[in-house]
Amino acid sequence: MNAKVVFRIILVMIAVVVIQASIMINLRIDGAHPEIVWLLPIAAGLLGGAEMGAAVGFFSGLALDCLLPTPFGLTAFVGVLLGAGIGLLAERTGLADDGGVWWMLPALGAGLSALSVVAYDAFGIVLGEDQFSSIDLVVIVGVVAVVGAILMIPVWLAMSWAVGSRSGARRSRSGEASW
Amino acid sequence: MATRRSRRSVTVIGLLLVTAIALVAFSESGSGTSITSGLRSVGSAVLSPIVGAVDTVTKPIGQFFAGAINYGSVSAENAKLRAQLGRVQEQGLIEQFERSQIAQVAKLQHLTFTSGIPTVTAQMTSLDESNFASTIQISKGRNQGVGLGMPVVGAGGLVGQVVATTRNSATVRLITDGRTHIGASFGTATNSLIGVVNGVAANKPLSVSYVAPHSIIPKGTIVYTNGLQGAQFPRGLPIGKVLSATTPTNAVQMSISLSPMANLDELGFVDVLLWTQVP
Repeated sequence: MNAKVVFRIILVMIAVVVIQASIMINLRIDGAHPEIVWLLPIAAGLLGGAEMGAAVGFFSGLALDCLLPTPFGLTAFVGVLLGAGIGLLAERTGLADDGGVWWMLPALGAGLSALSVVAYDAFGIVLGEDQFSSIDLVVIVGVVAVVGAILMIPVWLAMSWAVGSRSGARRSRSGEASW
Repeated sequence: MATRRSRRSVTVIGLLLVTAIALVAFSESGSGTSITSGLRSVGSAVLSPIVGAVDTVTKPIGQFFAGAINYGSVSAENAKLRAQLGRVQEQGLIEQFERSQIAQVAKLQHLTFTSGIPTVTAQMTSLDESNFASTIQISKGRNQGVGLGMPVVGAGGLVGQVVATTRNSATVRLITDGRTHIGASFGTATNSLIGVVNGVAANKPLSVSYVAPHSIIPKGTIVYTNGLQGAQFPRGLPIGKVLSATTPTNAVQMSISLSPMANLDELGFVDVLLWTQVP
């Protein structure tokens, strides 16, 4: 991985974290807001494997942790697990490679970002954070999943550009799978 | 070659996981908070200006769609006026509380709270909300006398409590945060009730626990801090207004929801009460 790719990945991470902290935080539905930062390790894991997924999950999570009042490092921890997990799965199965069905990415975005929120909540409860057990998790998971499904493809395309993935560029040019 | 790469991946992922766990542990333990707060400050210093700039650009668009016009300098002026109005409302509510409780107050020999607590006015510098927690940063800190645990009021009622301080800033946990638990009283002099107000989540109503079933609590009743011995807040600060109060079948306590008296969406300026907990 050369410096140019690293720079582009950092750029995409900052862009998504900033959008999360400025725009998404204000888009509240029944008190819950979308959490698009989980889409970064998913996209990175799918495109670059477990190592890249974990690294992107760690640093994007850490960046968001700087802006959140919740335990520092918790988003990074869940981000590493998410990125590494989806990366391993992608390496072993070729998940979402060229020719993946059109709904694959939105489904992964919805399912995995919802799973991340649940994991985040569970780890928070384990750490003894009172407020993690009193939140309306169903609403949060619903909002996060829906917006995750909608924004997975744009984030995936941005990460494809960052890592210089041919499959991503090809998909976006040809509209091979509707995106 | 593939094995070497695989080993490297495992090492990198393991290191990242260990680092993340260490950061969480530092954050949660008293001894390591200086490390994590330092990292948080650096990260926040880098990202906050970008977030603020994007927010400045996107917020007017959102407000436009919400029907708000004349954003800009008027917004700051509005914030100041709201803070002033909030103080007046708050004072009125405190006086109302004093009148309704006068019969009981007269019986007490030792008052834990009287009006005239000195305050420090501070500007809100950032709102740190997530699906899991709600805090704000304010522009006054230890150098101005702000200390841990001090109550923060504004925009019509209790806003929250100081949970962290630096020399010139402080972090205030909002009353909507799930970690908030406030001893409260409400009702009339002849029908006074006490309970515990709990935060649920940002933009969600507060809840009240430990109120006996079938108590008479009309909608719109104002709930105040009770200031009992050892309480975290002085007595008589307006917390919220009753939205609903019902007793579910076979319940051992009432189910009560409150809307915060303070308009937490429009916190421009707040007052920190220079009050410390009476043991």
